[in-house]
Amino acid sequence: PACRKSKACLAAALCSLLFLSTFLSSAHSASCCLSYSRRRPPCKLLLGYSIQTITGSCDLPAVILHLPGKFLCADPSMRWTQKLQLCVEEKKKVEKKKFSTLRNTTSDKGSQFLGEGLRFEM
Amino acid sequence: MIKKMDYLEEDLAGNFTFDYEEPCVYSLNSSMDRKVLPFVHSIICALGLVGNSLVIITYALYKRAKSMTDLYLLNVAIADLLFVLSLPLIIYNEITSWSMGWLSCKLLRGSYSVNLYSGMLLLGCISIDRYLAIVQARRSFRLRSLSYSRLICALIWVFAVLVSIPTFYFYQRYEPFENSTFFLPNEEENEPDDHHYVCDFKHDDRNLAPYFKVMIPSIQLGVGFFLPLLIMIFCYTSIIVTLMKAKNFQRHKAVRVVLAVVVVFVICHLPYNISLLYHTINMFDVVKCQVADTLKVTQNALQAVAYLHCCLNPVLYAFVGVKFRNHFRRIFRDLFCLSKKYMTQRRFSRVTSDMYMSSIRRSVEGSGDSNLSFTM
Repeated sequence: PACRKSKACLAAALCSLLFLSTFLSSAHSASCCLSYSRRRPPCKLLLGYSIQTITGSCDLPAVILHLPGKFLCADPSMRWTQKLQLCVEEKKKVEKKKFSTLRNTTSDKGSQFLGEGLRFEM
Repeated sequence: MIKKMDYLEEDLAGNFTFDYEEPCVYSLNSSMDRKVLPFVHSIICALGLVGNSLVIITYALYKRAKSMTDLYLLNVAIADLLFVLSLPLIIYNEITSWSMGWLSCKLLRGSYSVNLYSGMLLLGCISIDRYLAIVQARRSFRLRSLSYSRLICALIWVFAVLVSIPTFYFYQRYEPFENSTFFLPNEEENEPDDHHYVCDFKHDDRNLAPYFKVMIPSIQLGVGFFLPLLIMIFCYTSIIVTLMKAKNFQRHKAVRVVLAVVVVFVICHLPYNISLLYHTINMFDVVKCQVADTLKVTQNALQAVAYLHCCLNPVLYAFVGVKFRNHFRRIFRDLFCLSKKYMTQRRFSRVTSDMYMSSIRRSVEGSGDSNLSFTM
């Protein structure tokens, strides 16, 4: 009968709903910088940086400094942040030169690890 | 090299932890997102699906929408049903990093917004309708005609779409740190196989973005909460004042229903909207990660309470009415009869019982106050 059919449909819908929402639940929200570091890390430890703008889901302008195993938030309006950014740019230029020369001399994959090792020694 | 690393680790983990700020990962909020909210949302979804589809089925099969109130109740049920249906799709997409594509991002966020606005505005319209029926009873005949109410419902849906245009426009599916990353080492090794998308606000003009960012929740607060709240407060207070003057047993029940409608609305929506207001006001302020995490958890919990309202609407508005309940009982009776008929193929008894029931119904309808849709 119609009533049994609709009951079965309803039950199936509810079960699939529960299944859907419990099984596939690992929602990740984008992480944002919400406040700024007060201490400046030394430039020699920096691996790079990225810029957080307020044009997306984050609401605070920030410079995210990449350190080995860490990310630090810095105030883009601070002088030391701008200096660190410049420092990274400088290092990048030097790195590129070294990297390309290393590449030319040794073509195997080991050179890349060597290149990465060099990065820390600068 | 090792020495330097040690220095860093010590420095970062030791005495100066509070001087270094890392990007906030909202650990408490994400664990709640994973463990609690899926259950809460599926319960809300299930209740909303059952309640609102029962209202729609009742209107579709047994009760042609005759009055203005009927039409509003039907439209509220449709808006709530669509809202509840978009909820699991949004959750599914948030989990699978918007695997259904950019259009689903825009459509789901947009339809969520349209249904939110139309639902809330229709609740305001129901209060106006009841105000006209009770307080302005003499003048209400023309204003409460069916053709007039069809026009109002259409206007509300159009208005809800118009108000949702910013959401349609500004919400995009994108990768949060797509082009801002500026790694020093081997740039060519950026493996793009791990795409992580979000469906969130995005506008590339850095000067205008903050205004649009504030605009969307502001419209939601104004049109989606405070406007219907003010209309409801005005209408229902004048209704209660009018009802208190009339000494009638049934009217006191009506007052109770009115109070229940307002109190439930306020309990469900006020806390969430206050947290939304707080978030909007302090949107661009510097805040500690722990505080922001707690605020986000609070806001999400209050949002679930607000969502719960669309499951309560069928009870508060439709099933409270005597007429509606009778129609609803008829559904179950007919379903029962249908299954009985299947087993015992006796048509005659069904026809007589049907006639008997409809005559009872007519007498019930005739005795009630036809203007009051919410008499208990």
